[in-house]
Amino acid sequence: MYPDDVKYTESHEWVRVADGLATIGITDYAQEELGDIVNVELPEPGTVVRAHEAFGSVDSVKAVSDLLSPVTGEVVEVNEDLEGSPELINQEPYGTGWLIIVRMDDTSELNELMDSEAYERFVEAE
Amino acid sequence: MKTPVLNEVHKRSGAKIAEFAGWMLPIDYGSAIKEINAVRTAVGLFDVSHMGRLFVKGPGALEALQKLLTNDLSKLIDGGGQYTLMCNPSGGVIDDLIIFRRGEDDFYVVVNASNLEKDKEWIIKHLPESVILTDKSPETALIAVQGPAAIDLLVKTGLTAASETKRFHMVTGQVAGRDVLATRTGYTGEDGFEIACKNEDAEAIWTTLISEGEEFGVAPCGLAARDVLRTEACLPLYGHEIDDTITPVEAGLMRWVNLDKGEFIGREPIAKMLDEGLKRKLIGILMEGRVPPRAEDKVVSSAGEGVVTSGTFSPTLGCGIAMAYLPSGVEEGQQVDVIIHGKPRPGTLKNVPLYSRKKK
Repeated sequence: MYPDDVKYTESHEWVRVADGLATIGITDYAQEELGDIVNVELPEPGTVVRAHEAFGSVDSVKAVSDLLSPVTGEVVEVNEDLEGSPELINQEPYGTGWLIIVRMDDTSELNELMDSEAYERFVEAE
Repeated sequence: MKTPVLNEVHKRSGAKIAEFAGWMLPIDYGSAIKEINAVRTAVGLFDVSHMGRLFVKGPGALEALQKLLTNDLSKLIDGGGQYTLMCNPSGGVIDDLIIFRRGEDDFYVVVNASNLEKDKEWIIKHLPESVILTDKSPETALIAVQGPAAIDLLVKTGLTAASETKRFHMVTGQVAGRDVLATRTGYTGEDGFEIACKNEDAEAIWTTLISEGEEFGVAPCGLAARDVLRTEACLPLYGHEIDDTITPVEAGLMRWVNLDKGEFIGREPIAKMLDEGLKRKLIGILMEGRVPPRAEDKVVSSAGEGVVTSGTFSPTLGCGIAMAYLPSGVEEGQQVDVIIHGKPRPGTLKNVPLYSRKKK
């Protein structure tokens, strides 16, 4: 049910790592809970984000929610398609709805994150 | 926690349910944006059974209600209705409501869910013994049918008088073969009806409206869509644009206050405020871009600071929108900053409503 090529946070972000670059998004469970996403606030490339700290926010129709970074590092790319089409997060949360790409400082931070099985159990317990 | 009689029907339709005013109610049925678009372009159904439905009847009812309400109730003919406010002695709003005249000294009143008990207590306290207030909310349901195709759908399902009924008037008839009390009112900025029926008839009416509405593009709609629709149309929500510390003058609701009809509770402070001039007034904001302001966000204008009462992203207008209280010196067209998530974001003031439907 949840892709196993990514790792998960307890605040429902996912991270996919390749060559030291971490692509970050929110999970299918998160987008389902939020409902239609109407606006996304993301940092500029070059910004440093820290693990467990807010790097931006998403607005659903009803409310605004902080986005927490799973890892520490510098933002190297931001998904600019989301500015005009935030609904991509609802449609493809693990694909075209990605949020930012971060060059990781410390790959050991990934060890704290959940794999898909652990995340599935976590969501069921929520 | 109370659940509407249609709760199981909503769950079967995939509704996301959450708490509102002591009720567990549908927030959306998958996509609030699709629901909003359905109401603006086709027709949407809302279960608003949580709202209060009261009947006030008996010799002296008109006279007693005239003293409790701001609008002139004596202007109503049988079957007619009006939006009105109930104010406290300081001129603050106890509730906003819609009242219909069923006959001489016989009225149907629809009030906010969150204020139902408070309203009942206040009204009963001011009624003579000859006038009886009956709360029919527990044994009835209320379904709002809203949008440009609402009338066609209701005529098709049996409410043949729908098209001839004037705005804010009520009519009795049948939908899906069940008796209803229908009023041409709503909370979306679109044409439509709000239909009261017995609890046991609610499911038949709802499911018939859904199945017969398919050809019109009907959608069941939740509270999220309802809140966006009423914010676009700048219809006040109790606890946001109005409460017991805000007068109808400040809220821009003087169209529904008649200072010449004689004495009513709150008249003097309202008249005084009108004479002395306003310190703050309610105005709309159109944001640059999609960012939605939220209630309690600060607004910085050239005339001073103010506060957002309601804000959202408007799918109909394609930008963030808000209503806000600002110092009364501000005017339409001026630039303001709304402080959203700690950052100033630019917007332009616009007099309410931000959206109004094209009348046929």
